Amino acid sequence: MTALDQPAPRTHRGLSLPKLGVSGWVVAGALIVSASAMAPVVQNSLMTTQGRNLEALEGEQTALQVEMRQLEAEIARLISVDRIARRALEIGLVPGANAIFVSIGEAGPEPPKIPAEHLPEASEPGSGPAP
Amino acid sequence: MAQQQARRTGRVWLPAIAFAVFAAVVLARLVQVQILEHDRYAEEARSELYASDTVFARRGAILDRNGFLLAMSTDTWDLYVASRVWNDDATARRASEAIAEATGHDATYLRTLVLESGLVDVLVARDVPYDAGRALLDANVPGLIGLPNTVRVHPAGDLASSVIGIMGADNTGLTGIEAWYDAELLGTPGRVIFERDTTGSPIPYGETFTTEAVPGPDIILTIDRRMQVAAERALKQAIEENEAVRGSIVIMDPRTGEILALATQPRLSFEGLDLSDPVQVRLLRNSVVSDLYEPGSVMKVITAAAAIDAGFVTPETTYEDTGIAFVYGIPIFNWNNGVYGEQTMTGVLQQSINTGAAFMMEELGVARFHEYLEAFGFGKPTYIDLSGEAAGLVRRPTDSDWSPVDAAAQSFGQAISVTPIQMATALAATINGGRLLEPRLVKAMVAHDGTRYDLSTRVVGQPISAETSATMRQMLGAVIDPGWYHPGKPRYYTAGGKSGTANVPIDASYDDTQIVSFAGFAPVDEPRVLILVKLDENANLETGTEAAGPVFASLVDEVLGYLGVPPNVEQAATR
Repeated sequence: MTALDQPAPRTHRGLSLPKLGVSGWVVAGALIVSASAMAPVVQNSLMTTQGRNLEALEGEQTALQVEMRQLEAEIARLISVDRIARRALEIGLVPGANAIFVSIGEAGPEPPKIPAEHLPEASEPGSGPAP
Repeated sequence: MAQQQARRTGRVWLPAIAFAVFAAVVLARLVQVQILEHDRYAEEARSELYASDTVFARRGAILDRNGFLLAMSTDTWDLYVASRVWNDDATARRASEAIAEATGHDATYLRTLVLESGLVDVLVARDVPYDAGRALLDANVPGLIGLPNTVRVHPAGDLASSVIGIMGADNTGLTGIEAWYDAELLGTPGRVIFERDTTGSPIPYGETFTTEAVPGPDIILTIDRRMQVAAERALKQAIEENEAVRGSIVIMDPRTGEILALATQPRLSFEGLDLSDPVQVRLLRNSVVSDLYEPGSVMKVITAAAAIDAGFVTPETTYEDTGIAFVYGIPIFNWNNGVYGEQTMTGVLQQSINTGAAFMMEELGVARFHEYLEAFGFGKPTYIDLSGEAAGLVRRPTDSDWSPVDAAAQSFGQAISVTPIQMATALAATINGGRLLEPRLVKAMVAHDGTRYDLSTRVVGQPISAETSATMRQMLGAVIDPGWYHPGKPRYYTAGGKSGTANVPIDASYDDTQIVSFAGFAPVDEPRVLILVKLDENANLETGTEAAGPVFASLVDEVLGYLGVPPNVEQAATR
């Protein structure tokens, strides 16, 4: 308990400035002023560089979107009924003359599952399913 | 040495006063600029500092009911040249040759165009493919300016061209779905406001306020591309075989009013469309909704439905046909001048007896008959979602040119003009339980975020009862299956229908020029499709049954097979 009555020992001394001469302080001040002046220049330069990079990335994004749309159009053209029919004739297929319908006792394959949000709303009562 | 003391003078105050006055002026100006007129100067500064630009929204695509693309926009460039940059001959030559190589234009033509235009920026090429335009712009061709644009492409070629319609150079729809749904397809343009530098370019990381452009929704048609192909192919073949001038086919779901296929011939071509050619301009009009014709005997279906619904006749009601009927003293003959003796009302439809139709109309009375015509939608637009729809012409007793014989003529499809879509809609009502539906070509719209909006079936009237409708299905089934050969009988399915052969009225009389049609449905008990085939001015002068009936029959077999409807007649049936 007696220890509490004693003042705590000083662990470190207060902040002491380096001993610089007058010229040292002038040089340090000049450095600080120069650094302060350069900071906006450096910042500006960095921003400009990043701005250009951003612009390039946006251009790249646009180009990719354009390419995607071109590919969509190309796919749609390739799967058009006319083209498929033409290609079928080229490889020797001919339109079927007599269709034969066969009834089988087994249930057909399940239709592909479509996420609920992509399904149309329920049709009006009595209007029946759309083809 | 005595020091000389300067004499006191007031001149020292002169510069002080001058500085003070100057300071006061500056201060006053500062007060004016910073406080009194702060808002005005702030606004001026903003307008100098900020610029804005419109961001055009992407136009929505048009797809068939199963999601196959029929029309979409792809990116292009519109190329302009800053004409002042080309004042130097060497620069103009170099730049024009580079542009000419990429666009296929002639370099000399480009130089003449730019230098003689008198404009600051001259449009030299429109809708240049994106890659070619990008390469030119990246090559820094002197004076070249590229503005992004889009062009409509049609991956399925000219399929359903009369439904889709065309676009103008300003990217707005001019005809068809492109025009009717132009406001929706266009989307909502966005706006970007940005801080600009002295050259007007956006300052990187400057303040930017953006209102995003909202792309137009994709439109999903009710058209099924497979059925459309079948209809267009069948129509083309029928026109050739019957030496017809033009024709149309409508395939409709009679339960919903959805148009599954709509074919017209001659067909509009997206490629090489020349709007200075009057023939091509006429093709911009969709004949299924715009062109009127006298339906001929197909109209007997409506007359019979009205007479049965009103309770004046039944399918078994009989009358005696003598080959001629007098209406207000004016003789009416049968189409082939035939005499059929005692006939039921079903027989009237099977033999297509004009006097029988006049008999039903007389039983009904002119006023009631016209009430039914009105209820079936004749004389007014169906409000299908296509522009240029005609209302049709129905001469009424209140009209100045009304003749007492007109109602009798109307009962078998003369003295009345309809559009094919009107006729199809009315016939759908006779077989679908009596509901008159608004026909439509758009099934749904899908917003850019994937949200789908389905358009619902719209019932606009109930001209006949469900019981009458069921009776009509059986009567029309008996027309196609009368116990003898009928060209309109499908091979695999039961069907009902009626043919029409009408001479074209020319200067208040008729000559050999005719319009033939066949309208029917299948299967009889639960109709899935209604098909109307119409051929104009067939030079071989075959009747509607002979010319259009086989087209109907083959389409029923093809379309119902495609829809997966099991055949309901003996497959060995001969045709």
